[in-house]
Amino acid sequence: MRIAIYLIAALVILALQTAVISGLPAGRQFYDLLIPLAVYFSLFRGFSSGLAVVLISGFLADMISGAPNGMFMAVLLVVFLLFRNTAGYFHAGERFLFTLCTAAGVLLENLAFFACLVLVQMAVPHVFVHIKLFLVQVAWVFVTAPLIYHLLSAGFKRVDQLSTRLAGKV
Amino acid sequence: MFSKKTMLVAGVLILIALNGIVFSLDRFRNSSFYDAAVRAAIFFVAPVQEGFHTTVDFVDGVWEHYFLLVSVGYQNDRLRDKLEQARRKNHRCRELALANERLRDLVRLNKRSSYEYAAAEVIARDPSPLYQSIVINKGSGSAVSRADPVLTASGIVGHVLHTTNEYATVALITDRNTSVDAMVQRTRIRGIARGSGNEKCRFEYALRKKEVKINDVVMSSGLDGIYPKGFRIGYVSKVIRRNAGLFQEVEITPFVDFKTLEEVMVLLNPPEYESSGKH
Repeated sequence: MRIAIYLIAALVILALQTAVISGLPAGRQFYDLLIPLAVYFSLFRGFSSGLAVVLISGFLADMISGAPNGMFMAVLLVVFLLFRNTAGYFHAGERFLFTLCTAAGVLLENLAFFACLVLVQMAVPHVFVHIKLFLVQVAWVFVTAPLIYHLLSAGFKRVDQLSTRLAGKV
Repeated sequence: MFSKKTMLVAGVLILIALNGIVFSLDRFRNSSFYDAAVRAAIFFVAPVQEGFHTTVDFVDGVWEHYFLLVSVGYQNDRLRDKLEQARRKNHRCRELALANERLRDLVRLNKRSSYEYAAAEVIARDPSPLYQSIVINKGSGSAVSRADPVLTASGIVGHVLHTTNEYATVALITDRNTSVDAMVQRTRIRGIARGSGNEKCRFEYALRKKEVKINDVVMSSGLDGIYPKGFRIGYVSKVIRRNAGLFQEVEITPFVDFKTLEEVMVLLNPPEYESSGKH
C-alpha cells in the first residue's frame, strides 16, 4: 500500500517534469526531479521501499527518454545507495543535508550523462555548455530543494499517518 | 568480520557490477522484450503527462480568454491586417500552384504525391535536457508506426521511436542519436544532418571543396528510407572550412522551433525510398 503511494508520487513527479516544467521557458535547464526523491528515500526512508521506488521510477524515466537504457536507473540507484549513511557522518540539519546531497546527486547525474556522451560519440562534446547547464541546475537546487524537502516531508508524514490508521482498522 | 576498507572496496565493486548489468540492458533495444517494456512505461506515464498537459492548457486558456482581453482589441486590428496580407499571399500561391501543375503536365512529371497525415499534440518532453525527444498523443491506434516521419509546416521534426495504442515517442532531429540524409537545396550537395543535442544540427560529410553558404536551405534527400525527399530541415547558420581535412564543418539551424513546438503532423506510411523529387 505504502509503496504504491510512493510509486504514484514518483509517477506524478516524472509527469510534472516532462509535461509541465520542460514546457516552461527555462524548464529544459531544470534539474531532474527524481534526484531529490531518491535523496529523500536514501536519507530518511526505509531501504526496501526506497530501492523499489528508485528502480521503478528510474526504469520509467529510461523508457520514455531518448537517453541510453539504464542511465536514469543507474544514476538514481547510485544516488540512493551513496547517501544512505551520510546522516551518520555529517551532523547538519536535515534540510541543509538534503539540499547538499541533491546538489551532489545532480552533479553525479551530469557527470554520468557527460561520460556517456563522450563514450558514445568518442569525442568531448561542448564542455562549457555542460558546465553552464550544471551550474544552472545547482542554482535551481539551492533555490528549490528546501521547499521540495518540506513538501516531501509533509507528504510522507501524511502517508505514514494514513498507513497507521489503515493498519489500526485492519 | 571485515575491515571498513574491505567493505568499501566490496561496495564499489558491487556498484560497478550493478551498473554493468543495468547498462547491458541496452543490448536489448531492438528486442520484443524491450518494446514491451517501453509500451508498459508509456502506458503508465503518458496518461499522467496528458493530464498535466490538459490542466496547463486549461489554465492557459482561462488566462488567455479572460485576463488578457484588454489587449485583444489591439490584437484584433493587427490580425485583420495580417489576414488581408495572408489572403493576398494565398491568392498568389494558388496562381503559382496552378502554373506549377500545368508545367508538370507539360514535362510529364508524376503528380505530386498525396501523403496521409495524422495531426498530434505534443504532451511531454524528454526528462533529460541532454537528449531530445517528445511524447505525442497519437499512437498505433491512429496508424502511427515506428520510424514514421514527424513534421510541421516549417520542416522536419523527427521520427517515431516507439508507439502504444494512444501515444508515441518521437526522436527530434536535434537529438545526438538522430540523423537525416540531407542535401543543400541550392547546390544539391549531399551529406548527413545529425543532431548536436543543443537545438542545432551538424551537416556532416560535406566535402571541403564544395560550396556551402550561410542561409542555404538544407532539405531531406529521401535516401535514408525514413524522410521523403524535399522536406525542409533548416538553414546553414555556420560554415567552418579548415585548411586541412576532407570535409567542412557546417551547422544547421532547424526551421522548427522546438522550444515552442505544440502540434505536429505524422506522415503515415511514407514511401521507403524516393529517387525522384516527387514532393
